[in-house]
Amino acid sequence: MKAPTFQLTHVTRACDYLVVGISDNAPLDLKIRLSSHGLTPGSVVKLVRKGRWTPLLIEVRGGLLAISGQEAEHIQVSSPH
Amino acid sequence: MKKKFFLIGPPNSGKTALFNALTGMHFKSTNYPGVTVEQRTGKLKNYPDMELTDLPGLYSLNGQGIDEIITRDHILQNQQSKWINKNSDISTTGYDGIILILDSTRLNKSLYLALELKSLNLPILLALNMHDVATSRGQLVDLTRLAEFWKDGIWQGCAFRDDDIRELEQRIQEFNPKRITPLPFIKNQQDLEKILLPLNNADSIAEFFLNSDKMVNAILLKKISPDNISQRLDSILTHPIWGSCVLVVLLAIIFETLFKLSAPLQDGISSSFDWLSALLKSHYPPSDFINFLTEGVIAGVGSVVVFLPQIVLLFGMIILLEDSGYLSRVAFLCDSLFKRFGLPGTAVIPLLSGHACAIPAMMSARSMNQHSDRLTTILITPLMVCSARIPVFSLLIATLIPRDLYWGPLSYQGLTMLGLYLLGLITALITALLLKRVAFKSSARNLLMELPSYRTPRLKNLWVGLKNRSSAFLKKAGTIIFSLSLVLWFLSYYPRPALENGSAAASTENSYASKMGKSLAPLFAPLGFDWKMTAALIPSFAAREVMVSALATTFAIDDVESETGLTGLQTKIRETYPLSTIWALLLWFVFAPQCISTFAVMRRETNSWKWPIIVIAYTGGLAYLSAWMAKSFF
Ligand SMILES: Nc1nc2c(ncn2[C@@H]2O[C@H](COP(=O)(O)OP(=O)(O)OP(=O)(O)O)[C@@H](O)[C@H]2O)c(=O)[nH]1
Ligand SMILES: [Mg+2]
Repeated sequence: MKAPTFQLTHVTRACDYLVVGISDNAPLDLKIRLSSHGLTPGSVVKLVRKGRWTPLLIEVRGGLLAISGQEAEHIQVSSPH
Repeated sequence: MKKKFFLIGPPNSGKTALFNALTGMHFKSTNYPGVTVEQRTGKLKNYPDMELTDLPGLYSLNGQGIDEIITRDHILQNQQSKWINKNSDISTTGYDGIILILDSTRLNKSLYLALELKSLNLPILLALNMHDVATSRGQLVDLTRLAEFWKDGIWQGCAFRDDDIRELEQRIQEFNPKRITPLPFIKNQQDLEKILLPLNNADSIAEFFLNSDKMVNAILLKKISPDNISQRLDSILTHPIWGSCVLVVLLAIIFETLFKLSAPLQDGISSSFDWLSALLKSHYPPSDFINFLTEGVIAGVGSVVVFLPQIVLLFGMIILLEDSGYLSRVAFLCDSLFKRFGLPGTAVIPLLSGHACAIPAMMSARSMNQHSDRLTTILITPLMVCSARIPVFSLLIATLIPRDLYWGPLSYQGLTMLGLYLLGLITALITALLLKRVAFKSSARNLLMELPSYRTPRLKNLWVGLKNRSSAFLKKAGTIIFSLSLVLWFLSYYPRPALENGSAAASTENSYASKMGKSLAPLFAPLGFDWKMTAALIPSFAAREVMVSALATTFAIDDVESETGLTGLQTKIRETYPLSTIWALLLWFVFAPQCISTFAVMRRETNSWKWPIIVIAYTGGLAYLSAWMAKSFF
């Protein structure tokens, strides 16, 4: 089974802003948990810490949010044009 | 007629701060999300006919945490009872309004909850708290415009400003929502889902956010500027390397100060007890009653009260860590480490507060979303070194290790104390791993945690926290520890067979306590515990500190002439027991089952006696084994 995915896609050159993508097969309660923190498909968030040794740290709607594990595993790094 | 209001809002928006300001109560209000995990009710200070209930924070009505569900059930269930009983006595079951507290600095996030609740037509007074911070960061809200969106009532202010609080009281007093359309009656889970389902599909979520964005754009005359200070601090404190270094240095400082700063205060308290004891002895002829006062009360209870400065210091430092906002960063940094042991980083918060007392710590695990994470955290919390063990640890460490022995800038005493805390933590983590792998077969829930902005810790929060804690400690010393010391003194003092010269034998050797202790001796002999230690082990399940008072009392009875006070007690212990026994006793207390009330709360939180019994057997076994190992190897 594929893990439920929550994707962040880079949009700017500096790579510090990301667009949130949530895969369709993500379970409902994950979607609800994410959305109650302001993470909905298409919303733009700021990347604060990349999250290799620590959880991922992003700025969402003016506040800091730490995400780790599955939720953050599927970050797509598209090379900026 | 009494009016009832509920205080709700996202976590960390200042609900409890406002509740305390309005009711004059002193509940814990500090800077991380998920502090309040149960409801609390109080009356408005200036309007006693108004009743206020402070509830746990929630991000959305669809939240999954136990704390969020408590709040959701409060507002949904009571809403109906009010409506159903509309024509009878409305206020006995329902409520008259919700005060929705939002953090002004996070409007574009928190208005989501406001709109979600509004869509259910609940009677809501909208309170924009933390106005002081928002203003200092340049935000300006157009209240007239906001009133067009929100007709039921609005307040904007700061929880710490008296004028603002008076104004909020006024608003609550006047609050009279136009219309309340009742929700359908909730009989079962399906009814509940019928209400919640329209709120949690992708379209409605998107719409709530869209509308909240529109609202924010319309009402903000000036937008809030970024929190530069928090950003700068976070660039260091959340850094995997620098952040961890800071954490380690902080821990070292905490344990250093614990011994260094408290030493002079302890000596002061100790010598005033000695002085009192000497005064009694010099003014009154020797009698059983005077002996009881000097040996039972002053030596016994006094030997525990001496540790008040250390306890206050530890609490003070924990409060500062919490209120500054740093605690959440610790959870952030520990997440990947904890995950290896099957726990999410958020477990740091209950575990750290377990150093104060396991009871609120186990309750604070309610804010953890996944059941097995929460259960595991509850079960391992008793392995964290709680403050009741500080007197035992400090006494024994000071007995074992000289005060002026240093390793670089760090004293060996502080390092040993830190070592014992770490030993508790490491054992807790390994236990968590076993539980998660073997019993629950699940991994840690992923972290999804808000980090609060940094704030200068509030002196009032520090003061209230310290006052609550020290009075709880002194009350315990005056009640449980006092009565147990009294019983132990009696058991150690009597019977007193007359000697040949007519005076009574001044020895505990033939006392009841000695008989009791000796009857258990075979069990504890492998650990090197003599009857004095053994007799104190049983009452120490009610309060650990009794071990200290029991030793102090029995030594005082046995040797009336010897040096009294803390140093006297340390010398006595050192002379009486081999080092290996003292180490064994120390390790016994790192693991020994916690006090009875801890297990009563564990039963309540886990809903069965099974877990408390398993934990008692497990920690008891660990304590015995480690004490035995210390006895054998030192
Ligand atoms: N500057 C400022 N700080 C505030 C104000 N209100 C609350 N605080 C601080 O914000 C933090 C959170 O306050 P709490 O009262 O614990 O918030 P809560 O909503 O009860 O939080 P939970 O119980 O975790 O949901 C504490 O550190 C308070 O001192 C305010 O109006 N201004
Ligand atoms: Mg609270």
